[in-house]
Amino acid sequence: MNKIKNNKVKNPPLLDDIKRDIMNSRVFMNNSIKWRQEKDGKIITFNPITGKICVMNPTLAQIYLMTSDKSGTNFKSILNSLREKYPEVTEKQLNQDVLFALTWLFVNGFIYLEKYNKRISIVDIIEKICSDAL
Amino acid sequence: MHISFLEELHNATNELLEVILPNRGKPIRVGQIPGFLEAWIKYIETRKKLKSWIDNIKGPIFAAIDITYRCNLKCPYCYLAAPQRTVAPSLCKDNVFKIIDELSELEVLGICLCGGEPTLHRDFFEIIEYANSKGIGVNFVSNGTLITDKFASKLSELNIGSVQISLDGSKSEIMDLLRGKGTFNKAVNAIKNLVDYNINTAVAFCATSLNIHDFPNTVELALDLGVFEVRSMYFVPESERHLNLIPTEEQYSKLITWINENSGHYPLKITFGDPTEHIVIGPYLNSVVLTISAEGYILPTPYLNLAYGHIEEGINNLWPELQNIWRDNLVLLALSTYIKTEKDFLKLNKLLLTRKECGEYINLKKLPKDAQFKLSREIRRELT
Repeated sequence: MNKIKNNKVKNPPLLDDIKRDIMNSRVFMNNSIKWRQEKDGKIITFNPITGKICVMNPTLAQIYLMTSDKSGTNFKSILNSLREKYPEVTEKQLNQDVLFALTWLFVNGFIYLEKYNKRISIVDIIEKICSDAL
Repeated sequence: MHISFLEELHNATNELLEVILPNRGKPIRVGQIPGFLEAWIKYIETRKKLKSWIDNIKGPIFAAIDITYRCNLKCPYCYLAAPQRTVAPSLCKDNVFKIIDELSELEVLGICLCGGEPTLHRDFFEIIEYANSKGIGVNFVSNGTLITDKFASKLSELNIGSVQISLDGSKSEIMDLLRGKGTFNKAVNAIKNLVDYNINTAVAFCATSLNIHDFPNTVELALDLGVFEVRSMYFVPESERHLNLIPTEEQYSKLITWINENSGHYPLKITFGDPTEHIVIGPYLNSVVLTISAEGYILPTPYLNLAYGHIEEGINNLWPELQNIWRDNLVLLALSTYIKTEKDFLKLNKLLLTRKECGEYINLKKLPKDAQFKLSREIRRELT
């Protein structure tokens, strides 16, 4: 790993860029994260590398489960599926919530993006920031 | 889909942060923070409304299994008193497999193989393979003395989440003073071997009065070695033997200030933990982590010789009681209520509750109610 001590990280990629990529790419579950679903629909995850435990509420759990397909999924498919389940929610609110959920899943390492046939994780982005900061 | 409780959660989080942040950078433990528990309870109540809290879970999420208490070092601060043991128990392979089977049925997501020195267990690799076959993530902790190139190569063929190596200084003069001659070089070589095989490696730094000043240099070394995390915590004293090793509050203060000011400048994670945290908040959480001793006892905390049941009774059978054990058991509730800092373990030593002399476990499941009352009163007396 590269040392960036005493160098403040400059020009981090904008969150907007990440969000745009999320909306336009296929997303895949990161299979190195262990998870289980509780009876009430929550999902508990465990990261075997960091030891971090996380609890997803049932709605976020639904979205996370949709990324588990081998061929992944995308923003629009998730939106369509949730639109049927939550007809009372406005389109704007639904868009915002799904984008927020996928961004959260990506930033916390639960999903990958596929862009130009390459899988990109949050670790790749952090490593790029580190190498750019040198 | 609209999250109506979000604002409430936001407020509860802010209130919790307002209690915590003024104490940031100070050597203060959760039990000492005024208003912490009240703010924390409000926070979890709000989280519960959001249904993103852990309640009535299927089983523990994580388990630490002490597969052996054998150890090839004689570290003066070992809270398991491994150096004092004349006979060091180990869990036999069949029992470890049985434990893994039960944990798998409870859908445990990860296990940590601990000790003693777990790599001394004769079936070490087979145990990892077996847990892997059940889909359970495996981590382990080690002093690194046995992790040669060949060992790391074999390990890399298995599915290991991460390995934590003890590194108590940035040079042999410091670490060898604590752990014995040659231990520094062996730990460094172990880290190199693991990193060479792309195995995620973390460092555990046991902060004592003798080496705490060297933490920044140890972080530098860890960074150069390719480690992803350096962990430390308040030193856990369990007997008079440990008194001269306890860092002063001023030393802790310097260390925590350094971590706060510098951790953001390193591309590795630097964490400093509070060993009493799981005890203080225990009654408000399900038992998400279980520790299983090398004798097969189930331990609510690894620092005391209090057990709740034995693997022979079946972890599955015990789980309904274990789930809320910190809330439901008188002795554990007394501990949780009155413990303030890790230095209180010294007081508990007077009640023979620490593990320093490798004495018998007190099995709370079998302890009669009147004996539990008596013990909880004694705990209250010692800790107040």
